Amino acid sequence: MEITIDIDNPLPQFEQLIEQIKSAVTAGVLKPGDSLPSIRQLANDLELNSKTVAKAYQLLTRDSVIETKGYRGTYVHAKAKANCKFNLQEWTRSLLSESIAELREAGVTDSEIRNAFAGALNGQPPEK
Amino acid sequence: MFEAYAFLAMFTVQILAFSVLFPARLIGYARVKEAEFPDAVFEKLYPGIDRQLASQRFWTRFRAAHRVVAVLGLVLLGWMLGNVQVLGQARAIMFPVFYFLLQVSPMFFLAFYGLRQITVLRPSLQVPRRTAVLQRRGLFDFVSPLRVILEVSIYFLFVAFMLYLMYVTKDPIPALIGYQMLGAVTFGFVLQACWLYWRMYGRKVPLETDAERMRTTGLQAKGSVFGTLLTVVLVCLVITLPRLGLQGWLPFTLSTFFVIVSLQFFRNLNVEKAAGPRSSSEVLS
Repeated sequence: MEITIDIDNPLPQFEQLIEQIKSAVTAGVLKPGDSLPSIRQLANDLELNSKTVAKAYQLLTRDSVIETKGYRGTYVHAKAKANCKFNLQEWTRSLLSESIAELREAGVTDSEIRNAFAGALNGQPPEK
Repeated sequence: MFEAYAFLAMFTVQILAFSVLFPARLIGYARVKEAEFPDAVFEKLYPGIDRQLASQRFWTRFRAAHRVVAVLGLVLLGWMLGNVQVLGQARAIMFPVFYFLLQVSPMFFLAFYGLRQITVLRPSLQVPRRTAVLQRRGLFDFVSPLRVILEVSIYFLFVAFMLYLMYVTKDPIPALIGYQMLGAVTFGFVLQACWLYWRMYGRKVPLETDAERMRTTGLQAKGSVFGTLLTVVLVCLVITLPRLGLQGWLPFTLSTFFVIVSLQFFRNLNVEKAAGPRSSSEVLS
């Protein structure tokens, strides 16, 4: 299976990689247990920085689409097809939307929500 | 005297194989590969240069260099025919070795020129759409496990043989020479491993397709495994023959080795198996 990276595409290169690997899994081109090229190999073949490919692999591993088995290499996860359907970003967005709606109902302003969110994200303790 | 005439016959084959047949095959192969190079890309890289003329001039010079080497070889052959007694001396092994170095010298120039072109061209040939095969490459995709096992075994057998010659035999070879030979062969194996690693996982040569890369890497992998095995056998023969009182066969052995190497190169330059032409739109999209 061939993978293509378009450097003129506004979509970040690591996202192009993720999308194509996920669509290959969904289409059944990549099956559970199939081996994937190493980060170095793919980066050199696509003339990309190895950090870009590593980031794509890291995010795919987090989503359980692929798994790394030490020195043996990277393989397609056993439940990759099911995990591809799960959209982490959408799930995060829906959770946040629910929380924001609750806060607005309680009368908290948007700027207060923004400040609190930024503080929580940076690990700052809540103000007393 | 028989070994001297056997060497002269093999030396003639060496001249023919590497200075006549091989360049002709190489030029034919290069012309096919050149035709695959899109005109649009050439014009972009070298504006105002007549492609046909530049190519013709380059290959004419290359062919002329090989012809000069072939003539020198024939002169040397003629001299050796008139002085056959020289071939019985220990220094006679220098004739095939130095002549082979002379034969490969135009190839060094070609390799240097090619590498320089790749270095210069690489930034200019950045393709906006890059493709890769989503499949892991491994050594065994190119060389059978049996050959790899054979190569590793041959290396360890060679080490054992050298240690035997240095420490066990009644007439040992000096340890310094033994370790030098071991070091040279080990260096050859390491160099081969690095080269293969670079070909398998390193950056692509500009304009090389994935299919081409797989094909050439496969050929190079098989060729280098064969080459190292052959080299080990040669080193063993170079050490063993004088100990068996067959020193006179050394020039013939070396010349045979160079002929086999030439034929191996010759075999790898198979035009028919080369990948098909690529369109300029694929490169300049």
